[in-house]
Amino acid sequence: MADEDLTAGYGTQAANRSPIMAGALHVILLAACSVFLVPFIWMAVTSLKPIDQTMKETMIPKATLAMLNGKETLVVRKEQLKGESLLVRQGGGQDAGKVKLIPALFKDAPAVVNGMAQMKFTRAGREEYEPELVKVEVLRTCPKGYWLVEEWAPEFSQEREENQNKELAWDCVPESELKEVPHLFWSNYKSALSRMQGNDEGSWYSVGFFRYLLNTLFLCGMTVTGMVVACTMVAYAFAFLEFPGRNVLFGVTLAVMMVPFPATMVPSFDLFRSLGWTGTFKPLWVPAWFGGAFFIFLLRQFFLGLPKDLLDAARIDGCTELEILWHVVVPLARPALAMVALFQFLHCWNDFMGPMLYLNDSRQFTLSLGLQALQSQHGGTPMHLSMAASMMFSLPLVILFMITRKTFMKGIAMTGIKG
Amino acid sequence: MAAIGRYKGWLFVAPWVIGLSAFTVYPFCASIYYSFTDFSVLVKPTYVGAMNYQKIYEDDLFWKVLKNTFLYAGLSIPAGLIISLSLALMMNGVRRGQALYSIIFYLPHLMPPVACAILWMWIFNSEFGLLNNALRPILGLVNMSPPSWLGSSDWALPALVVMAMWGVGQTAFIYLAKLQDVPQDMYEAAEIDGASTLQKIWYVTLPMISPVIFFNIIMAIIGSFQVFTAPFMITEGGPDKSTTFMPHYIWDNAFRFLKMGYACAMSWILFLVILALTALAFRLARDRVYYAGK
Repeated sequence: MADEDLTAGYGTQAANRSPIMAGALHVILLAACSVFLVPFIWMAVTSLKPIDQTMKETMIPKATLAMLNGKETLVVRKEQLKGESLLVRQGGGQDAGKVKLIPALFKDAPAVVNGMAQMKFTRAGREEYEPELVKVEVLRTCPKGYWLVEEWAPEFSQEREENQNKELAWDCVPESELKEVPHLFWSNYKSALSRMQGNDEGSWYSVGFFRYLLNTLFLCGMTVTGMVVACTMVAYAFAFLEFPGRNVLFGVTLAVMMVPFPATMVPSFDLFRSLGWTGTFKPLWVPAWFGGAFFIFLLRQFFLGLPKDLLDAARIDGCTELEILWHVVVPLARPALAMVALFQFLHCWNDFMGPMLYLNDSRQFTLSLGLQALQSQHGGTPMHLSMAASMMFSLPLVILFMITRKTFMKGIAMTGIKG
Repeated sequence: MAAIGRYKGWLFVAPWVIGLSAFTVYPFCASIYYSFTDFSVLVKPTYVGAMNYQKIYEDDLFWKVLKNTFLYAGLSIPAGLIISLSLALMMNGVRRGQALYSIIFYLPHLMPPVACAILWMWIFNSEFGLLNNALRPILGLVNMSPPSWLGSSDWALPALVVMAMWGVGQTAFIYLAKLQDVPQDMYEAAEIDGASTLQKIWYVTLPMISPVIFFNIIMAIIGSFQVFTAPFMITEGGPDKSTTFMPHYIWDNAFRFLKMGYACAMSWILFLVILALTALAFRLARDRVYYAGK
């Protein structure tokens, strides 16, 4: 268990502490944990809510159920009837056969005689004409306080758009017939995906979320490979090879870590533009194949801690430096290399400014850019869909972290201790 | 063979040297040159002397942005230090659960900044956000209402600082790892001398981990002056430019207003500011950081 790594050093400090003190510390730590976890939980919960509940701080998403057409369906409360209304079926006119709800106290309300009445209906598009007198069949009376509910449909789903004209079932039901049950709206995820698809023409792999994912994975793969290969070589040289100017170069490497990105942003952009690389992925992964200051520093520190006798033995055996690197150092340094790979992957996945700077076409967007585009879409994006998208963006990292936890934590500790 | 052997190293570091020159040193130097020119994507650089720096001096917005950046750093660096150190000390003080605690505290640090920005934007929402929904009843008892966070020019910056505090888990873990390395004899010696817990922390623990504290402060200085994603996405620099920080302002000048020479001048000033602060930190650390066994 990872506990051994962490508790190896503790001794008299915690052992002598009274149980009360230890208990108090646990209480504070647990409180801190809940503060740290609440935003996560909130994100997860919001991603599973229907839109009307995203505004409230309910912790459990709920759904309303009602019997519509004899079937228990998920419904949305549209409005509560403020007065008695009549459910009628129109006998003639434009909407013949359609069922409508009309207020009973409306001054032009029909007089009901034998279940039939006459109503004035105005034809849509013909408002200038006199309303027509149309026969209606009164189906039912709905008293005040009843709820007008409509069948719930996930927004922005492909089906919804295809069936634009499809009528959603609706009815008037009393409060007593409505059931509130906890319900996780997993369809939000599908809606978020289709919203990311937007109006672009294209299949699921050429636009939208999966495209962003592919782009991101491509960039991550390229940068991780490049960084690991380049930094290993360079750190090897710094650690084991004597060459003139080594210390100066290393000093420069350290200094580079202090250069803020904005200082080189503009000329870098200009450089890439003159190379014709803006609008492509190249500025994002090509530099990785030349190494990075932080990882070089880290690996060099790690290599310095390796037993030198192995290398000397290999040299005596007549190995070239490359062979030593490949056959001796790399196997020993696997944890450190894994760490570099992980951190670079994390950095690339989360990178926003780089893609923002160099990518223009939405088909090239990475996940962070895609998510940001979703958020700033014209008209705004409902929060529950944004949260669903954020969850899809973040969860792979959490899963990755859980799998590689030991390597991760060792790596973080190394950045601090050796630094 | 021996002569070649001496230069073998250069072969190995060649990629780094090329990369360094092309992607760091060249842009860095070019930045200096460009800062004395007037150019944009459309206009070739034309030498204008120190005009950009003159304009910066006269630019009120620049001074406000600089002030904002200092304010943000001034809040987030100490707050981050105190919070992460406290968490680490507490985690170090309990016998069990350290692994679990450190994982929970670390998770937020993993999150992509874009997702964090969206999440916290919603939490800080003045009408529907989680924070205000929790604060409203409490503040209602004293007849106050919670601030409008991201909509208020006074509270937007602190809100961003709070958001940044969510990610201190990595720093806390680094401290915890280093705390484990403090030799026990130190504590025993202190106890023999009759030190209380607080005294032990102040006189033994903190000095022993001072290199890591120093390292983290340097990293925090460098990092807090480069914050871009969160203010860019959440507040877009507002309200009333209260959350516009240097990187964002440089970005705007370079890519929106197309005043790249001007932006380069500003980015140079940013670099010098960071350098000065780092040098200050080094100077202050000389007498305070204790490198045991180094």
